[in-house]
Amino acid sequence: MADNRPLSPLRSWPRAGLLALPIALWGLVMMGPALSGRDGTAKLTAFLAEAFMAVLFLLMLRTGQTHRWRKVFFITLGFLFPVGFIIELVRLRGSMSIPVEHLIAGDTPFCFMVIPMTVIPAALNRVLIFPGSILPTASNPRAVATMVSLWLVATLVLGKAWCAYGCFFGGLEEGFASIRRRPVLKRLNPVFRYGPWAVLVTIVLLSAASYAPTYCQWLCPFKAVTEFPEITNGQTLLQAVIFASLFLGLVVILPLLSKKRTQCAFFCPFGAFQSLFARISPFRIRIERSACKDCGACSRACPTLALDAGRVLQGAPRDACMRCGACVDACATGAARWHLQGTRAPSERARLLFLYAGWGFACLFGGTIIASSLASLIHLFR
Amino acid sequence: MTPSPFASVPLLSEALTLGFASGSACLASCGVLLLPWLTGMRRGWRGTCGLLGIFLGGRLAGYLVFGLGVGLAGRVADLKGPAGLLVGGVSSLAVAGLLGVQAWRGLKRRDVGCPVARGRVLERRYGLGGLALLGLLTGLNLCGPFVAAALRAAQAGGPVQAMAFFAVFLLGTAIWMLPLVLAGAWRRWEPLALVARLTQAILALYYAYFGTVLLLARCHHGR
Repeated sequence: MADNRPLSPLRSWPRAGLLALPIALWGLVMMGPALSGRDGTAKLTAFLAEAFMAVLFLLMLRTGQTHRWRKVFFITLGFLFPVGFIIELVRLRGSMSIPVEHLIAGDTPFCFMVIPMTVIPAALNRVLIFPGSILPTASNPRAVATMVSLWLVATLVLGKAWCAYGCFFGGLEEGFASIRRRPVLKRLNPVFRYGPWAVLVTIVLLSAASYAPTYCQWLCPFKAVTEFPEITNGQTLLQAVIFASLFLGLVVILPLLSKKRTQCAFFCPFGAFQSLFARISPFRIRIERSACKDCGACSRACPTLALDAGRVLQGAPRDACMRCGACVDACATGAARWHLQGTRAPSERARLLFLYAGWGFACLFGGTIIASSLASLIHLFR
Repeated sequence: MTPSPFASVPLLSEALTLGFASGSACLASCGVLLLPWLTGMRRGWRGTCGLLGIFLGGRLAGYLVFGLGVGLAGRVADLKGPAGLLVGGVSSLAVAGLLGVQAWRGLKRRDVGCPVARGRVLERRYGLGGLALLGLLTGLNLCGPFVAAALRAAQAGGPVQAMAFFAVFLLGTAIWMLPLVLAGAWRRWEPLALVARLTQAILALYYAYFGTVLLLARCHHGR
């Protein structure tokens, strides 16, 4: 029988500590290469990142709150990733722009955003429409095979939760969304919820027609804080203007005003692509109608507009739900709850199982990025 | 001597083969425009087949006009030169306009439930006329397969043969378009139509940019 009680925030420290031990050990394994290396700075930052991830997980278990602590990790990742990435780019190339010879040599790091665009050309003509290498090389360790394998495993287990535990871009807008206490923009047109699907369809079709990663060329807001083609003519200038405008509008200004992750909710095609796999993952969020008071706290808390009054009545969020746990944290009656598909596991147990998978992935992907970005930052000031 | 009724068979079978061989490229370049349009129209299987027929009819008209031209001239103008840039630029801007209007009308009227309301009827009429025009414009699209067909049609021996070559070429490429009728399978799912309209709006911007760049290149070429 389903457990209708609110989540217990009164876990004892020893019990929470014991439950957090597997994640702490997993984190050590992930940081192993850096911890056992000769670089003192890398060792220090790996240790700090490991401790950071383990402590946040412990607090999640101790307090029963997910979103509150996940957000700390996610924002840290969101702000440190571009910093580390830019420092590394400037060290290697002298600027953030990609020289044409690097594009030709296939030295561009592969980003998961490209995955949806590569499917049709790869399936039809065995062509990879990205200037990267399939296997890791000395000059480009972020190869296609590495990222696709990682994405595949994470997606099969976590589904859309990639967007809340793995995406190194989402933390930026979550950070800006967290600055104000109350939103200035309270009503956002729900039609724009279909924006990510439209962008996904557009880029998939255009990429199939043009054999080029259209999203990276024209629409990626995060090019503004990572890398972009060298500005050499009117087209590259226009591309840079589009990147900067989308970044300012969707990642900075709108999240600041609405307290929502607007880029994820209204634009990100990869988020829509991940929604296709939302039902593969066994981890879900459910609204227990018998316990719900229809107060709307969960809808207000949801950062991607996956919950509204209609969906609360249906008892489940849209496929856009990224399992961030904001609705469960906000629900005073325990009606919003974690659910393990096909089981009657109580919410707390379903949450724990999800967190092992989700946080394990966060340590593997985000934890190592935090450690390396911190190391790059320290090296910069030395 | 009376020419054999089978004299044009090798030429037409060549056209069919060329069309079928390059159909995947046609599907990729026309599918971008056609799939959102068909989805946004929200017809069933039969209706979508009819819409595809209208599109292909428009495309056939474009092909026949072009076939007549190259057949009469007996050669193909430099398609990468000023004429090609002008045709490409103007047709891209026209496609952008069509997509933009279709997207705007669809988004504006999406909540209207009555199927015989004046706005809905106008939207349908525009949808049909626009689709035929879209077919015509994509028929004049200077893509790789089209250029290959134009070069061969110019050597066909006259305007009638060139037009026949293009008509059969269209038949070969049309086979690849058939899967697009699947768009009719989700006619009752309104969010999909909404996504299709938003997609058309984004594509309109893309084609507007593309057309402008071609026209600017044309102006630059003319200096």
